[in-house]
Amino acid sequence: MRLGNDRGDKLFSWLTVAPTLSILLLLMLYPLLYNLWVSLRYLTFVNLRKGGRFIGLANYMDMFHDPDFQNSLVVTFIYVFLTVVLQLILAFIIALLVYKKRAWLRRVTTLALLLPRMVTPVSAALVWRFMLNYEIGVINYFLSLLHIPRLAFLTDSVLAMSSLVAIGVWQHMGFDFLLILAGLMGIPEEMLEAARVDGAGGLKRFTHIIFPVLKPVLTVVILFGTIYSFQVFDIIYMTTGGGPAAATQVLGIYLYRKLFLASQLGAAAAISVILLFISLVVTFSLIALLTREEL
Amino acid sequence: MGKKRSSKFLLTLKEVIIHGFVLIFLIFYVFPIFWMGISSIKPPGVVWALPPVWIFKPSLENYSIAIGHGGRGWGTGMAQFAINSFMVASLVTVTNLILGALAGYSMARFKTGGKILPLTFLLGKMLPPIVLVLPFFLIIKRMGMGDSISGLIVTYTAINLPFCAWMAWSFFLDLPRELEEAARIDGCSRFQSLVSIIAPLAFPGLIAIGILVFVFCWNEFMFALVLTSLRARTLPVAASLFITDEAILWGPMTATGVIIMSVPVLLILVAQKYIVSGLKSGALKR
Repeated sequence: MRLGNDRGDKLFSWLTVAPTLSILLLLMLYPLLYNLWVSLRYLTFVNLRKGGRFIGLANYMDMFHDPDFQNSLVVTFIYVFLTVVLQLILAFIIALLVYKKRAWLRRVTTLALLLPRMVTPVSAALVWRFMLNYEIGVINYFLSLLHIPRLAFLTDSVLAMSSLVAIGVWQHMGFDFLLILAGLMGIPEEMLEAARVDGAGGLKRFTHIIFPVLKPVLTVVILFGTIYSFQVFDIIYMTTGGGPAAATQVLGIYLYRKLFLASQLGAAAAISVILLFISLVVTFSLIALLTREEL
Repeated sequence: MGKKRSSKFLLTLKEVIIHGFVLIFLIFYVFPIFWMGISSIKPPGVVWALPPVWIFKPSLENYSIAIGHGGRGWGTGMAQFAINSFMVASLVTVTNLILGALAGYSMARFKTGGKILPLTFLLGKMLPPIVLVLPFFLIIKRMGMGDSISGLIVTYTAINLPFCAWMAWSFFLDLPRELEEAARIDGCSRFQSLVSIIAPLAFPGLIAIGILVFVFCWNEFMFALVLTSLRARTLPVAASLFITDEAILWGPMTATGVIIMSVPVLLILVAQKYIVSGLKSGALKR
């Protein structure tokens, strides 16, 4: 007896999907369309009841001419690029160091690297803020032991961005490590052994065997990392709040400020649409890759 | 031969250096979590003393202030916020598991929606939640669910459901269909075979999904910040409000951080095996 052929199966199969599907239409598609509608209107908290008025693409035009928006685009790009690249490189190095070592080392490393990912982001933000504090932060204390003067980790624009990148890498590196380690463990030992017999040194083995074999995994890691980093909000909101000035004001924070501090609902909706568009592009490339490559 | 055996039991110098390097790196890596833990059990007076006090008599005073026993308004309402967090997270988890598992089962067994439907769910899972903040803020407000637990439940259900359905689908695909087909021949109804044959087999996978959803809701900050004020406030928002106070009480703050994070960390560690394999298959499969 094959499942899925008779009429009862057809009915049953659609009935089981129906609740989920209708919730998503109602609570995901509708809000997104509603958001699109709002983005075409002049809407503030003041004229909210009347529904604002239609102004076409003016919100988008304003946004592209807004230096604050351009700044946020750049800041977001820098943040995403640095976190993704640094966490990939670090995770790769650690994975290369431990993948042929004893099992306990692999297990300890995996657990330790994944720990920050389990921690509630708000808790992580609290402790980082505590440690990076200018006067009472333990990191400045450690620096003073090395005779390095105190650093304003969260209030100097370059240092604030660096601190946030470091926290981002700290949070997400474990995931990269997990996937890269799995990829490395999958490389047949004979392959590396054969290369060694043929006289290939460490670097050559890396560029000719390890790297090509791992390329699909690395691409997945990069795309997932991009999607995660792109969504950053909690940590920045709670450590620098987008400051100093707008040095760490990523798109998410910019949207939040437009919405609740500037009360420009239409403009905030337009930013949401742009955010959605960018993430759709990244997601589609990820999905295309996942369905094409047999991982 | 001899060389091979010795390398199995003794570390070469190079290996010692690598082990040492990795372990030192890991110590730095987990230091923030260690620091949060150790600061939270210091007596309040020495929490932020520099140079740090390393030897002290452990005290739970920070915790008692954090949960509202210290006066000065610190920690007031914490119990209510914890109940809010717990209610939201568990209700969303239960509804999502039921709905997501049904949808995932249907897509895996009956190929409902072909390849398009699972991909749609994957797409929904990847959607950055922040693009939903504005419409949800307006819609929830219009429906009169502002600052209510039900508003949060509706929101989190929507955000997690695609993930649930997609993960359930990938778990169900791995289960053998022969058992079910046999059960159906023996006269089980579709629903009976789902409940009595498939559900027990899928149990570990469903546990993993459930824990991930619970942890997401427990940790979620952005929507809770936007959609609640006092009545429906959850723990992360409560903690974030302490930090903007001018006189930050660092001790109780670290204690609050530890209290909040202990739930997800314990849950994930307990179900570690399922979640790691689930994450891997979720990220790398299909």
